[in-house]
Amino acid sequence: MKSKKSIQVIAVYAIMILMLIFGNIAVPGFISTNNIAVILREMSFLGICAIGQTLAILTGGIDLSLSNTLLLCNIMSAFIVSGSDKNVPAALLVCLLVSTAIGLVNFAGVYLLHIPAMIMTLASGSAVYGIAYIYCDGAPKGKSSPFTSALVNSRFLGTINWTTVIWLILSVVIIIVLKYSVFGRSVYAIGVNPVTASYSGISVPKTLAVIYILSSVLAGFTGFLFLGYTGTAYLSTGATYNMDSIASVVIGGTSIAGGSGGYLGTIAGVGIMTILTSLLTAMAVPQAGKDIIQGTLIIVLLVTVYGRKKKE
Amino acid sequence: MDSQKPVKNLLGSRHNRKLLFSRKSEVVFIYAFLIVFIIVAAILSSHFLGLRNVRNLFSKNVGLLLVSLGQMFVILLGGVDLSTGAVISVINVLCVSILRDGNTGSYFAMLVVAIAFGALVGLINGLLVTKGNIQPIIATLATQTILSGIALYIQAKPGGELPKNLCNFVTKGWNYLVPIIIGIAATLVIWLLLNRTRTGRNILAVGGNEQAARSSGILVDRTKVQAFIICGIMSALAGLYISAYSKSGSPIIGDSYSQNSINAAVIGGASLMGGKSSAIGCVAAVLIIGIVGNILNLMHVSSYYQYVLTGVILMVALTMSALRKMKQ
Amino acid sequence: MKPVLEVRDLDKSFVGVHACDHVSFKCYPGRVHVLQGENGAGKSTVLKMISGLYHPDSGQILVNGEPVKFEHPLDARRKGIAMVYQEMTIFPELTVAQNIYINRENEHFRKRTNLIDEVEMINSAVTLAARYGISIDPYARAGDLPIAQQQIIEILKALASEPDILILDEPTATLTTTEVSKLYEIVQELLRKNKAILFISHRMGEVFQFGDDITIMKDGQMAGSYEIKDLKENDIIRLMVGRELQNIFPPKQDATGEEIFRVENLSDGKILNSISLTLHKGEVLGISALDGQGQTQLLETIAGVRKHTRGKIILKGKEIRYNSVRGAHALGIDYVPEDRKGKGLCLTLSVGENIAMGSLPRRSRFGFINLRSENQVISKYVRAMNIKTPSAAQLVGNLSGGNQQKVSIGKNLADEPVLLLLNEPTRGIDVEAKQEIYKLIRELADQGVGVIVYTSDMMEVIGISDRVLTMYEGRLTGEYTGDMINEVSIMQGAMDLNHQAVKGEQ
Repeated sequence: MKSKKSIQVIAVYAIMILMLIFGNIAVPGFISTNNIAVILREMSFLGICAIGQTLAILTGGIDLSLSNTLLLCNIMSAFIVSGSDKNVPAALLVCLLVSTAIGLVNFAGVYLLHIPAMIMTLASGSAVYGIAYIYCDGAPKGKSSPFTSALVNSRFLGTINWTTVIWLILSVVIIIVLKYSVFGRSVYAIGVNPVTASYSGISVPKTLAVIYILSSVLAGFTGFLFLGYTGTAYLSTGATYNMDSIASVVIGGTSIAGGSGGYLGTIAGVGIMTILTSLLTAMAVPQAGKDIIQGTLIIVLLVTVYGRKKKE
Repeated sequence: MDSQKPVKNLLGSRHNRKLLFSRKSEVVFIYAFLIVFIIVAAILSSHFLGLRNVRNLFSKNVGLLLVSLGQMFVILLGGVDLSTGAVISVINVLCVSILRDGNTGSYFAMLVVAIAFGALVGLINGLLVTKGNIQPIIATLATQTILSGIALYIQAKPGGELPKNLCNFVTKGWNYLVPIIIGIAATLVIWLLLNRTRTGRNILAVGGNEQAARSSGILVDRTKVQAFIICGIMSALAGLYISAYSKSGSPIIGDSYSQNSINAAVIGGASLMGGKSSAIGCVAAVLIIGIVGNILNLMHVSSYYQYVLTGVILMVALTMSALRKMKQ
Repeated sequence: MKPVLEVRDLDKSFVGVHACDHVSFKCYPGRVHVLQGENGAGKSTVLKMISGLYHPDSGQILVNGEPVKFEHPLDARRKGIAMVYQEMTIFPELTVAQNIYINRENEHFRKRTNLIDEVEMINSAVTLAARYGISIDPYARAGDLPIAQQQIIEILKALASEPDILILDEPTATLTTTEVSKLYEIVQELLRKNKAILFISHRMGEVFQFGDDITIMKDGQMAGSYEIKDLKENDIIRLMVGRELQNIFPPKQDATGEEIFRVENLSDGKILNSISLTLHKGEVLGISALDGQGQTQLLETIAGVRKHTRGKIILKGKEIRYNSVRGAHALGIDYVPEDRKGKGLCLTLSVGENIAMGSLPRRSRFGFINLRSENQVISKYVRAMNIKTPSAAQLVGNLSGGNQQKVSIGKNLADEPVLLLLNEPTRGIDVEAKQEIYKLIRELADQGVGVIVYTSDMMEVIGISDRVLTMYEGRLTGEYTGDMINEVSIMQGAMDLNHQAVKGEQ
């Protein structure tokens, strides 16, 4: 069983690399150092959100509020920073507090009230969406500061963006934590059978609280990073991130049922989703075509890599 | 022994329909919720109970009711159908290209195309879930993406006009009786389908305990596909109604309906754990969601509050039903 | 007499396992045929082929002398075969009547419309139940009923098809004594109507109570078909395990050491009512009670799963306080729950991951796990518990019931318990594994670990306990040692007859 899982992860990485090669044939220069750095930066945003999504899905839950948390934090950061570096700590603090609160609400619904995570986070997400609109009265204001712009646009050692560096560090940490820590073991145990987990002395509420708060906080942080990326806030920011993050997690081999998979696969899922969008944009495919190709690719990938069903 | 006595008592009085309905406490609960909403709304705005407003309220929300009744079947199986909104969008842009004013043949053709298209999408979703072994949320996410693309391909920008007379008849005809009749008829048909037919019973069984359904000889995969097909057809019919209500075409017209139909089906008593639901509860839920939008509109409050309120109502409904369950 | 059901050379393999190797036997009308064998011997596989859920690789099934091929459970039903499965097949959100007639709604269609007539269905359900002397509320949601009543629904569901052959796969595992005797009456009623019954049970008493013929299986093969009156209990065990089991239970300990654990006036405000008990070093303390008398609540309260409202818990002379399983683990109190699949194990995780799961804090520093010490512990307990698995990386769900139970116990041993609580430690596992667990329990007690065991199997309580406490409605009703540990005395305590006798005299 174990080996089958790792073969699937290798397969997903192979598909990602094949897409890069195909991209370079279709659009010369697609895998130039510069374009790779651009793709990696795009991957970082989705990748950071997908950390929380991976954890939530591993425990048998899901977080459908993260794209709206991202949006709210993006709008608030823009408003608070409004072009000045000295406002950055305040913006970060507000993002942290707001997203922690959202995560706590999600946790309370999922754990204390046993509301299915899908519905709970859909509901809280809807409320957060409304709050974001009310906060800016339908028209986001403010703009990025030199620091927030540098975070996204300037490059570490002249090659990759700082955002990417942050994402890579987070990735390494989360992979190690999932594999070698008590928290990581608890995540998998809860995903397979929360009752057994609690009978085994694992603190289910603590683990779930950490996961839902972390998922919100990372989404909020992505919203903060987006400020430097887009220069200001938009109402459409992050709208696709719920679905993109879920697709990345599932393509990466984490089962929606919980308890199996990991972040290493998610990275490849994030890569595939990002490279596809980037490639279709480079090839000047219209939105209609992008949608159709993306949807089809998700289905084809899932059916071919994971689709074999056990019978009896 | 004394354990035999109750049997005789039960046998003595023939069972009747009244007894059967006296056990549906969940539905009573959601209707109590609805009445509270109506009272609050009536206090907040004197226009709320006016004939014009009530007519508008019904006329506006029949589309949501149709798609929610379909969504309920997938939710019963413990899944969600995220593609419902995109089906509505595709049907809407198809209406623009197919319907010709005054041409009854085109009306009929559109109805056939809509049902066939909805059924096809449902079939594909169902096959992806059963044969492709993909979770419903992922499978329908993918088909939703594809369908959005198709809608954009058919008509990239909002525009186009639909036959006025037809649209007015469907959404306002016979002094607003037509939309009400559509709503009642759809609820009745769905209620019978779910509670009085074998297909419905099988869906309830599969949603409640898949393994048990299999060993009871129920064809589980076929049942799941049927649920998705019902959902697809209801979404397509909702697409027709929503098109008539908007009288024009837009490739993103259905976007909000995926989430709203899930909200309505959940508030209406379909537990996402599967196996429980009520068409009658769905009607109340749609009305509650409709009233929230309506009252904000009457009070000239920004529609942004509707998102917050819907989210909060959903959480309150879920909390209350969770607390009730814990008490038992 | 002509057999109503005959299987000839039935053969079935799963990936790597020859689950059923040329099995043949005959069932006659008016007789109960018992299928007996250890867990994993292939009994359920045979039954699932007869009921149409699995398809045989080769061999024949004959109903009334004519060969049949079942593609689907419905085909079997049409031939008059109905099965009550070992796993619950209840639909919790449907009513009792809807459950009984699931997938046979067409019998209650209205004419012309083909819609289900619910009233008609309820009346049929009541009539059916009354015919077998069963009282059950047809409107009740099945999920609201206690598990034993749900099992009755299962049986009614099978009876609804008026089967000629009724298959019962461990139907009594979840039933209380009263309901087992009810089932016995149902079986007698069916036999009077000349129906045939195929029956699996792990309770040896029931084999002799219910059975007429017996087929014994071992490792997927036939160990023989006999008339039960020709066999003794030991013969059956010998055929099942392939050797004589001289003495299932290890010898008891006479000497009792110092007190290691004490509970004083424990109450939980719900069922537990002022429970006081002591446990001594080297002794195995057995608890005996009818179903649902608070025994599980007592063990779970001590284990930290539940909270108590009053009373003291004293371990090695010191009063201890904790309010979680983790807290209990830290003090060395470990609990093996009765439901290994639902509470004891993560079936889709590996043997190793499961063993390590109960004692993560013991082998970690700053939240990170010491992999070397973890691997050592895993291999230690795979060996010590004699868990039959190709490797520690094997998924627990792929092991047999007995080996799963060993993993569940091993997980708690890896936490190095001072006090080990076991709830139904041998439920649904084969004789050989049972014997190993009895031996282990004795060894642990000898090593000075405090052991408290609840089991619903009377022979087991008598066989392993040095002292037995009985519980009734959340109270302790009796304490038995030495010769007083016998079926009659314990039953009196468990039914609270001593107390009621006193009441009667007043």
